[in-house]
Amino acid sequence: MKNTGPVSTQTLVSFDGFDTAKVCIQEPDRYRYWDEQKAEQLQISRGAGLSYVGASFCAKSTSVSLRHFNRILDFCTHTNSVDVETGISLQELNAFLRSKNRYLPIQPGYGRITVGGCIAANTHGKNPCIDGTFIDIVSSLTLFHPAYGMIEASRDENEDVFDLTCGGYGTTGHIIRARLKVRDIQTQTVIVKSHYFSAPQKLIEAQKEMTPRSLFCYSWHSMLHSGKNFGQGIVFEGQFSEGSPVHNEPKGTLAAATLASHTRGMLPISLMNQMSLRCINAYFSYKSRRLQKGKESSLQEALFPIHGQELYFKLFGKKGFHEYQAIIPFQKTEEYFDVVKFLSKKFKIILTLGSGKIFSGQTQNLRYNGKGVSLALNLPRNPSSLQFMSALDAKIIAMSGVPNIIKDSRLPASTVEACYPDYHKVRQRLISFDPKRLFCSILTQRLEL
Amino acid sequence: MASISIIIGASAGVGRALATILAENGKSLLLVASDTRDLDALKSDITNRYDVGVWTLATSVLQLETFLDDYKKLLQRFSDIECLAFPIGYASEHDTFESQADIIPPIIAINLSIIPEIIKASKDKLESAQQARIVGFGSIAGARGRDQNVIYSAAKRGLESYFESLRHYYSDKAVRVQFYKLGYVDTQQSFGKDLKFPVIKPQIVAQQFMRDKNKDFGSKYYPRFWGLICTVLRFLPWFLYKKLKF
Repeated sequence: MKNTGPVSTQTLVSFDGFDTAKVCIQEPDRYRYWDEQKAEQLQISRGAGLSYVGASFCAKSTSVSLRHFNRILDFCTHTNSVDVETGISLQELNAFLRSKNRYLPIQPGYGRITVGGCIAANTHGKNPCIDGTFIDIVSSLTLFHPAYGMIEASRDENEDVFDLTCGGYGTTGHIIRARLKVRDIQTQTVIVKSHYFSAPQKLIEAQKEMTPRSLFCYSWHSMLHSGKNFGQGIVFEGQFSEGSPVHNEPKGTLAAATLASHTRGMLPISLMNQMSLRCINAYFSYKSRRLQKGKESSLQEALFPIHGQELYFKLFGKKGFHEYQAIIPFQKTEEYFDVVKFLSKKFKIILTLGSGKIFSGQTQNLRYNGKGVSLALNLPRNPSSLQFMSALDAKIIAMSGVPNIIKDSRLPASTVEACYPDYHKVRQRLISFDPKRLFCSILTQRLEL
Repeated sequence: MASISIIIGASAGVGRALATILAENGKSLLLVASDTRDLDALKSDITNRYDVGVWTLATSVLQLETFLDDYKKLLQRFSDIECLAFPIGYASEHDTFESQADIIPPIIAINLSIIPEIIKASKDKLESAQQARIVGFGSIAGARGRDQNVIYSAAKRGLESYFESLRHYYSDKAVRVQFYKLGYVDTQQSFGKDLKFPVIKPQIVAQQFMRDKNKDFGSKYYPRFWGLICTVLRFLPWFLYKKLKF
């Protein structure tokens, strides 16, 4: 039985270009839609549709877009929290919070991503070591499941549902509303500094030292050079500038967020090759080295660094790209860089990006967290890239690393099972909560959830 | 007591966009729709973003007597009505000659007959304003009858006639009457349909609504290109028109 309401049939593609399906989409704009939902309809929530993986669609599910459920419901200075409908984008929410001298301390770097997407994927921000992950700023949420109706969940109420939903990839239902903790803005200006290091281990040590005192701290690694300079790069740290009044916003506006999964792959071929990558890296290095003495940036630009850099993703063309992001235990990072260098040579892989952050949490459920360095690698999709990724899977398992489920469209269930100790428990809890397993996407099918 | 801007059918689509743009422009609002959950969310959103007063009336306009009682009581709180807009509408996939569904009364009521009743109930407050505005929203569907959206098209064409009469009545008073014949708008009504012409966002309609606030244009198509298309349709010879399926 199908849900009531108009339906559109579209071909959707994951942001990395790997997962694609012809799907039915609904875009309800009133609460009565939830009253009329049928208990047998396979479905999944959809936010901005910017997940690298097919997390919000599959051929046999109806994708339910929450874009009209994007309102601000309450803001409380006493509890320093904001209640929102989860279809709201991070950029829109931050624009509102800025007017109240607040911001979200944990969020990914692209403004079009929705709050619902952040909760479902339990995204991290720019300083997960200190700030944690998105679940740490979710106080409560309202979830809709056709069998149960609206469920209020928090750490005190329906705590199992809350725990399963945050980082649950939409498997428990539609997240309609959420209460989020916000933080005071100290100043509207952030000082961003860059520090160059010739070896990846030095970058990591520097990051470990800078992270506790920074608003954000992440590394960029050049993976082009062979030899001992492989993985050299830059650590970026940001801190609120002192002495700049809260109400003084720096000039210049944040570049518009223009990325969409269906337009990312408009170039018929990939323009990522050794030559173009050398140019990109050289330009990026040059721009970044100018930050060595520190540069003022608006908080908004610091929160959304990908704005204005969208061309990078488009250069991968229609075939798309892979991202392999994994938390590597600190004691294994040097070995991991050696492995990546070896495998990239073996399979003749161009690694277009390496980026790292320090994590200090625990791997619970299927949430991406752990203690170590999270290193993200980007590479163009081609026949040998899958072999490279599979080889990395084996190494990650051997090193007790944790791969990021929301970043890798081919990550097999066996790797997730090996790296996430709670994998089987989560499956059992989901079956217990929703025996009919109504919430289904390409991602959940691949992971056998 | 303050002036108020009233939106009948405020919870989604063009109504929601009108509410937002009026609030951006500092107008106090009375929002009317059938579901209190939608209205509460919209009210919260507006009052959190803008420093304006917002009142809501959640009721089915089909329960006309009850609605008018509540509506008139609420109007007493305000000195006058600055703007009264009717983005309300209802269409049904069963609105065809084959269907047996009993959809004629609600389609006629929501798209046509309740509107004069609401305007009648609002008359004194409208005429107390220094400058008031009554805005109706029709549809390109009313350009010429066809075998789809049968009652809906009839109602919208009737509404257009009513607004012409209203404009005539208020021609020498400080009440401006405006009527938009809307093309495809990005709402549930157009969603999922294979439409051959561009679909505009409700926010674009709302922006035009604000630009037009002091204009005495009477009635117009929006976007404007629909004027040409609807004129062609209206004057298309019958032997050609009867072959069209749309």
